[in-house]
Amino acid sequence: MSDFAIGLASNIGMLAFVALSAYLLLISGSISFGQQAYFGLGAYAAGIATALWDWPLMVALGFGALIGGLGGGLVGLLTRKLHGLYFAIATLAFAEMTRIALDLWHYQRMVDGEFVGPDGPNGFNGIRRAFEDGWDPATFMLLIWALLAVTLLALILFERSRAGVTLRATGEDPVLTRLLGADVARLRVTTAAVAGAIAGLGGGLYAHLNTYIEPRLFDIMLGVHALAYGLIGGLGTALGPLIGVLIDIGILESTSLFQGWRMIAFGGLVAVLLIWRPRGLLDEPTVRRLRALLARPARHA
Amino acid sequence: MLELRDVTVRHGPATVVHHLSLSIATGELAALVGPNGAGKSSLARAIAGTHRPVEGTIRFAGADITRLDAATIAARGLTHLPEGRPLALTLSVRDNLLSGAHVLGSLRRARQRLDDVLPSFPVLMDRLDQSAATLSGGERQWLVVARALMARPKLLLIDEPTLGLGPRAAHETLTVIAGLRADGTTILLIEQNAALALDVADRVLVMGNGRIVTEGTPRSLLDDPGLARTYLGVALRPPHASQEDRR
Repeated sequence: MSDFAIGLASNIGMLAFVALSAYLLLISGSISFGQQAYFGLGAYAAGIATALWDWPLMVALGFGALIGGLGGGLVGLLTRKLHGLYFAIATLAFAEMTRIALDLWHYQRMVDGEFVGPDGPNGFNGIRRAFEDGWDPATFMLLIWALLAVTLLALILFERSRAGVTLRATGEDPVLTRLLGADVARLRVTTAAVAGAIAGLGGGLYAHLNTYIEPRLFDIMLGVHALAYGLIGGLGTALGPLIGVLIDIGILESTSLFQGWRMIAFGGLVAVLLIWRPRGLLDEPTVRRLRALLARPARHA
Repeated sequence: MLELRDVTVRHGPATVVHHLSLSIATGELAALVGPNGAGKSSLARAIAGTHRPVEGTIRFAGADITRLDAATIAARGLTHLPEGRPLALTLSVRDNLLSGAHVLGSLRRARQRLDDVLPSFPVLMDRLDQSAATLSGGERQWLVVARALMARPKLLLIDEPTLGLGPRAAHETLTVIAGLRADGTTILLIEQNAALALDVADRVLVMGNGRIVTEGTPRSLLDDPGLARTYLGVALRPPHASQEDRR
């Protein structure tokens, strides 16, 4: 694989985490404009853990997911009774607060003769643990995709569980939240925490691949893209957001087809899909049809 | 099974239910009828825990549920079917049904329950893998009823199931509901279409201006046409009544 292809595959994989994070909230009926905050928190937390505290990479990635999950859970707890526009605004407000707080935060230490750690708007340099440990870009790309595969599998299994069915049903009609005998407030807070953890895991990977992060990277544009990936790819299965990322990064950005027009093409695509297929390419009926098609040969066998 | 004592419900400054008491016996199909604005749906929401009464007590299956939240009340076996037929329309009929069995604890038990519930709803059985959005109004109401049954409810509180349905679908829906009572489910049916409700109910409670105005068997209500005209706004002509009955 060429360096370009490895970089591209890594980018697609990392963005898929934040897209899955937004997707999980979308299927629970909540539109979040703030998942970039947990991606950022995970990036900073995992970066600090390896660069400043000298933790092993895998533990640091787990720590990034934990901090993302705590952030998501906290916001989920505070917003558990908000719906629609109010929830969306609250998540955006929290994400902006996080970004501005990271802009103001300085936490540096001398490591090997240079200052390392978050330095406000100047960002956070020197997150080199992955490459010091011998990960090259190709194996790191495999690590990203292995973790993504595990996350996808867990989400697909979750969606087929009792909680998954209830989450989707209550996500569609909030009136149902009171009728089915489920503790929906708890379900929503848990979902927000898991979504935060998924974004945080992606953020940790991002920090270690790029070795440099800054608060500006985790602004609303990332959050809007994360939402759009699910809406393009489809809300019928966890594979939907991944397809959304593949279309945007894999086709629109990586080919010179649209060059300076990429954002216009992307925005147009989102607009067309929202009219034509409001729940994306792989929406629920499509997924059901595909499942039936896949199940048929298996039954004959 | 269900007992209300002195229940008062307010919406802001307006009192919509005044010191109302009633009781529903196990296995009974009681109909609560009355004109628009009589307070029927407000009372239903108070029972289901989605709108807390300001006074009075509500007891269900021997326990005080007045201050419990809606989800806990549902988990105890009192299932509310509010008007408007709330469904997850993009989900399949099957997943809508499975979501109704959340209180059973596992998806495996929910699937077993599905096998018990489905035979009563042959239309749904043929459409399990379709989106709920593809169902007609009457079929959606049956899905809402079937989803409620998935939770093995002790009491079904059904609010205006025939609202917006054609006469035939409305009649079929009430036939389905009457069938549930025959299977032993206790039902409190709130219905504006008094003629239909009287056709299936064991006992009728007539509500007006936030109070129970009168109650009795459908027969006794029919014998007092003045009462029906005053509180229901219509002279009652239940579909099963023959010419002789009316004379």
